[in-house]
Amino acid sequence: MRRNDHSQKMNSPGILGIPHEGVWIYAIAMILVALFIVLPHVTSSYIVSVILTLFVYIGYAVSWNIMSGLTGYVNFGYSLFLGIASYTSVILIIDYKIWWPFGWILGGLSAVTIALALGGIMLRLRGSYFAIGMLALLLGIKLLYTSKYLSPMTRGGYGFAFIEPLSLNAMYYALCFLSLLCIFIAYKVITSTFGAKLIAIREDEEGVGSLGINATGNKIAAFALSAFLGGLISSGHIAFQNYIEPESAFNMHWTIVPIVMVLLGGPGSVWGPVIGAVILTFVEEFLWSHFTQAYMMIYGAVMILLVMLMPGGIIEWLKGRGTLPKIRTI
Amino acid sequence: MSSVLLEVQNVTKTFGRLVAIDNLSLSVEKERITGLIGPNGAGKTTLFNVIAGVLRPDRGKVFYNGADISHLQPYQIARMGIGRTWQLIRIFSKMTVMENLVIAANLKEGNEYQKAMEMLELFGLKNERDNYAGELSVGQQKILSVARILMFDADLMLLDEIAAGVNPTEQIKILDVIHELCDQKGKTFLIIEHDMDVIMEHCDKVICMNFGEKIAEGSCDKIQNNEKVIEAYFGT
Amino acid sequence: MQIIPILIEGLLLGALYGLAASGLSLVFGVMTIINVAHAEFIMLGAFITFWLWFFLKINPILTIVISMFVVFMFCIFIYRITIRRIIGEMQLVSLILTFAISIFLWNFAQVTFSSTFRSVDYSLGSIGFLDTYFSMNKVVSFIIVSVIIGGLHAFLKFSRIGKAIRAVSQNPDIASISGINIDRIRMFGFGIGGALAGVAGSLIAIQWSIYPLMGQDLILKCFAIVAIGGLGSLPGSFIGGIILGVAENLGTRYLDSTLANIIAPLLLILTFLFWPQGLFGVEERVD
Repeated sequence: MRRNDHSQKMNSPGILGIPHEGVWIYAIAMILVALFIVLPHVTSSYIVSVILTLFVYIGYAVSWNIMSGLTGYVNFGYSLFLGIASYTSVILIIDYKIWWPFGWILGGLSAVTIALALGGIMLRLRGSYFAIGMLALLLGIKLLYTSKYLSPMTRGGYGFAFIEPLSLNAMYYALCFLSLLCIFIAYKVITSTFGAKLIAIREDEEGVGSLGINATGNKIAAFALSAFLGGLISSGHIAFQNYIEPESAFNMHWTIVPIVMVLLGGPGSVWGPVIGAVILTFVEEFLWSHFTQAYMMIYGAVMILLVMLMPGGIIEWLKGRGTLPKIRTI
Repeated sequence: MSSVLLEVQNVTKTFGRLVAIDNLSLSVEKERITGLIGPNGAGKTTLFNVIAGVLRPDRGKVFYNGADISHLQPYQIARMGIGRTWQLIRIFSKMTVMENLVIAANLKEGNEYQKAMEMLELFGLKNERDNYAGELSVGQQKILSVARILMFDADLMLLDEIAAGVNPTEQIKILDVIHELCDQKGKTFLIIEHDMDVIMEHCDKVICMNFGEKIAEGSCDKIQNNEKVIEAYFGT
Repeated sequence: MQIIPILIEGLLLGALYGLAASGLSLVFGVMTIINVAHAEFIMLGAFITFWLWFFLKINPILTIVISMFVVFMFCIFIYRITIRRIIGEMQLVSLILTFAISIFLWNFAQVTFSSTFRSVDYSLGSIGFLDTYFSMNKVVSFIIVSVIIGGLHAFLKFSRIGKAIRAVSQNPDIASISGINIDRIRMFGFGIGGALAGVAGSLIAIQWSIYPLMGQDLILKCFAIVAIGGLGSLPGSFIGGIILGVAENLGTRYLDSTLANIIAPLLLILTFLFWPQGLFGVEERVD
């Protein structure tokens, strides 16, 4: 996006992007982490569910950003990976009695497999064609899962209920861990040469080849990573929902909302998606309980305003104002 | 005794009915600066694109150090040691000078930063390290383009009008760097230039193209007095 | 089942598909923007026809004119407050913007109209041909589509605005030097694209049930059609529409409806990969 000024410096101060001067931010982070750990024991399960949903959205937003925020290849078909991972993990855990952490990991791996298989093909498409192509792929695969051809495994369009053998609190901690993992990996990618190459691909994909950078290989790697992390989170997410069906597992909602979160927070940054996820999870919770139907409409309106007025998101706005240092680690 | 580093063998490249390169053969000797001249539309940049792998020759082959690179991808050719720059500068303007250098490194050992610092020293860009590449002057950007292809140890450098559009001081600097790299580091250059003074003063050998064909090849003096070359540039 | 009636049905369906997609092609031609919200305009046209028939008992065929006009004005409005501002930006910006507009519109429709399916109860009977009966609604729709295609073609060829639209589509720089107000023409182009969508929506309302999410189901078909026909080409989108219509109908009759619905996304991906310029693709302007 032209107006998104990604002029950044690749120094690496401090820990997880926090400059040494910002010790107080570090302290607040520690308090927050402690709070998250203690939470399930001091509040109701409703609040635990809300924070759990927050972890899920953080995970989705951060992993979507790793691919699309950096390379500029907007993946409108993200739910594809989420749905595949959900189904794989549920079927393995429920039908084949696999221990749930392995089930979740295999769910993530199934998403990666699809990403690797399709990545080479889909990433040959430029910009808008890739975005629309992924949308088409999502629809096609959703139809496949709904159809009678896969229904011996998937139970077709109506889906089925299930309970995975872990408690709400266990899910909470697992997703807390997974979302932190996503943030950590995002930080590692964005501050590394790999991340710089991805950004360079967005700047000038053809020119990048003349520097010996294999653009396709790097794109596929980012694509697969985004699929893996999203798949892991999705396996946890579906465990929480106790019901799986193609319409909800592959629903555009799980793509649209993370995209708005990334746009709001700041595409291409480490913490932007997190900030966006935090803000919008609570907004969604509030809207959903008061304006059950209208909240998606409001998402659409917010997205329109963001694209027109603040395409770099909150992080770029803060950096432009000087409130945040212009380093790539944030 | 220098041997041939790059050999173009009977290459033809057409775009529909337009024949951009017509059965062209040439060779570039190691550790020399070879000039490539010709009027606009002669096919010089197209030739660069074929050598660099951006375009595939319809007929003929390109050999680098004896290996056939005709059908390789651009990034593979770059990794073999061929670097190129463009007429219209193509650097990552929204990344810093340092970042531009570091991502060109492709080193496995991880000392990209160190090598980049060396480059900055060599090219006098140390002060610009954390500035956005887009903020440099044209001359500095051209120098940066050359520095980048050195980051991955390019032995053959294809420079497209590297001296054009820069002020005289910068031009001198660029050419000094080229000579230093050629004489002291053993690099080979194939440069496209329109400025005849630059060609005559700095090239060991000159190849002239017109309408996709090679019409003359030889030392600077020979080329200067070559009838066909004069005709190509000035008409009869 | 005999194949000829199936082909004819496919043709009737396909022509409508072609009309539905034509607006998308036109808009891309005149401003190089892929309007993801296009199918929502189809949905709007459908609902306008439905409400006019339901509340005011107007003959659905007549509502087409109103729907065309209303969607036209609505699109002009949308162009002025959003699209115009991002014209020079990269294609992805407009993609995300129109995507956002589409999200807003179908959710707005869902909230305002509720998601139940609705049908316009209006039948013109059926007509017998080649041993089968075809719904007269479909035949009339085909005739209307043909009239509109003809009208559109004449408009683009002979009218001043139409010629300006073609000029801007082919070469905006030269067009602007020639004194054409590019912004205004783009605005008209967007409006006309919407109007075409609106008409298609009205015609759909006369033949099938409508619902707020129908745009979401239609948009991929529109993309597939435009991909096959070539972005920016109107004859291409009609031919593409017919190809898809016939293919889907064959799929529905000989296979099952799920597989028939996979045809559109599948064709889209295959076309993107192996035939990106489509039938009559205009030259892709680089970002």
